[in-house]
Amino acid sequence: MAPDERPQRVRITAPRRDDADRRPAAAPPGGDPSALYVRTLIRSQRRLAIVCAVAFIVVLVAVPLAFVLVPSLDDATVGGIPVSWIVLGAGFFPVLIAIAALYVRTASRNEARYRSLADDDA
Amino acid sequence: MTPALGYASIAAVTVATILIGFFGVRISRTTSDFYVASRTVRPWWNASAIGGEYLSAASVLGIAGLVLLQGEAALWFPIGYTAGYLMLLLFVAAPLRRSGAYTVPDFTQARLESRAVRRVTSVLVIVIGWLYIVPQLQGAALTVGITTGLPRWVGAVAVAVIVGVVVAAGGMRSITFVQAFQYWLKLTAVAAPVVFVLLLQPGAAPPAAAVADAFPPFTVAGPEAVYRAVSLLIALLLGTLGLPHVLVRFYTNPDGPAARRTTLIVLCLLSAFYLFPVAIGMLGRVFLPELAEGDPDALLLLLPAEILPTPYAEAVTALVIAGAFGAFLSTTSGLVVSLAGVVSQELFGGSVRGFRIAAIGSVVVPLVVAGITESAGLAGSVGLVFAFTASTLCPVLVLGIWWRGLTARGAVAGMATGAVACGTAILVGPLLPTPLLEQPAAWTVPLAALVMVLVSRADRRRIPRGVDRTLALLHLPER
Repeated sequence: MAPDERPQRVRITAPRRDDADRRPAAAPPGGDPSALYVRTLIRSQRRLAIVCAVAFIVVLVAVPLAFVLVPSLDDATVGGIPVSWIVLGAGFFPVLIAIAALYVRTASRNEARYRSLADDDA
Repeated sequence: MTPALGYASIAAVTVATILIGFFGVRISRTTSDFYVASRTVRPWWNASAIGGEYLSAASVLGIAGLVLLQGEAALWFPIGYTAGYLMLLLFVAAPLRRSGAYTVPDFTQARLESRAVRRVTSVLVIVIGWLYIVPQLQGAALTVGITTGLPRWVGAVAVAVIVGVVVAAGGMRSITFVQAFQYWLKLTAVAAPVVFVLLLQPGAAPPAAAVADAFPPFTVAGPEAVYRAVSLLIALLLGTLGLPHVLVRFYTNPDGPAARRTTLIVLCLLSAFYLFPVAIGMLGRVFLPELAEGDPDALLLLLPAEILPTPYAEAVTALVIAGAFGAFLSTTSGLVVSLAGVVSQELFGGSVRGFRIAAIGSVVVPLVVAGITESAGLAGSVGLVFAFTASTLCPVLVLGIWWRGLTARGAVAGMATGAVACGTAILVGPLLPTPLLEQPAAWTVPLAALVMVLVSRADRRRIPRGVDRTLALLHLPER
């Protein structure tokens, strides 16, 4: 736990794109470092949630699109049932669980990072 | 089907529910204390309870019926019903738990520091609860009608009376133990027909031509079908975020990380569950395609007798009836308990007498609505409730948790816009069948969120004073 390494990580989690929007509403109150850490935590959790949601939506759109663009995919059958039935009926659940598990791990890691920052500060 | 089997199963599950409801209050006090001690077990119980409360008539009967009726297009329903919990996990679970709010009105009041927002949210929770109870009662009517031969209204009245009386008498609380048991009962009920078909392989394999007919390859019927699928998925993904009887359950998690773990387990439990209604719908397309003309929602109840040999058929049918009836009882009582809590707090100052009156009111209104409306397919009508929730409570929860700039006026304006737009679509939809009105979520959800953001922006001076403290409370990890 080298305390001199911590501030580096704050910079990594600051989203450049969001800054223009958000600065007027969230002006740092007197440069209070703990408030800065809280905002950074909320921002990184929000970005994580959006990334996970977008990842799922991409899969959700890509699968039917693949069957529309390449209809021959559906020539493959399992016991006479076209694969698209199997994929839609069962295939999304493992994807959901995988994204959810990754999210739970990363969200806890963000919180652990906040905790060590706040502890170092105090 | 022999009526005796129907009577016996329904009576058994009713008696079991009432007994566990009354005596379980005493037992659960000790068991829940027991499980608080060992936290590795607790999220599993909690997750099973969420599954038990969530899996309603729409999931147990409706999805199999819809797969039979619509084929592949219906497979989006179980995906949406499950993925809703991913959205709940990503955007709501841990912060809502940390807010310490027991209901959505508690949350909005604490976040936006306004009694008016609380009142609007309470009204919406009550409307959503009523709308959600209606298809439960219609499912009960269908099940009782088909399995016993009694007139259909008997089933709806029976569930309403049982739940109303038991909740009003103080029996059926939101007991984790009872609802957890309901998940496993429902899972057994939908799994049994599939498992027995696989084990026994009854009859001759259907001809390949029949299978090919039953399972056409993936097609898109045009832009209208795409719009319907997208709009349905928006409703199901975002509607889960605001379901009052599900959110109440998150309060019983000890902290934010436990709320996340619980939601992850719920995803696993729902994924396992939904494999079976889909499989039953697919079996139905091969073995009972003519049911699509009659009561497709009854597929689960009729399929075992159709394809299983005699001693197994009766046993599985009895189990299926018990599971279906259990679904109506558990979801309805979960909804009535959370509704009665909100109503009694708003109108009667939270008194016990007020809770009883509210509990009766919470079942009578949906019973009247169920009596005067025709069931338009169980999965479809529950889908509309999700659209309404997604257009009202979802934006206020997500923006409240993640956006500092939300104000009380913005929240009220957005919720009112969403409620009016989506409510009008639900009421007018049956008269004027266009996709925009029949699947409104794709435009009502963005509209409500946009109004909420724009009005809040215009109202910037009224950002709640305690906003930074509240947001820190929602997002900071517990020590």
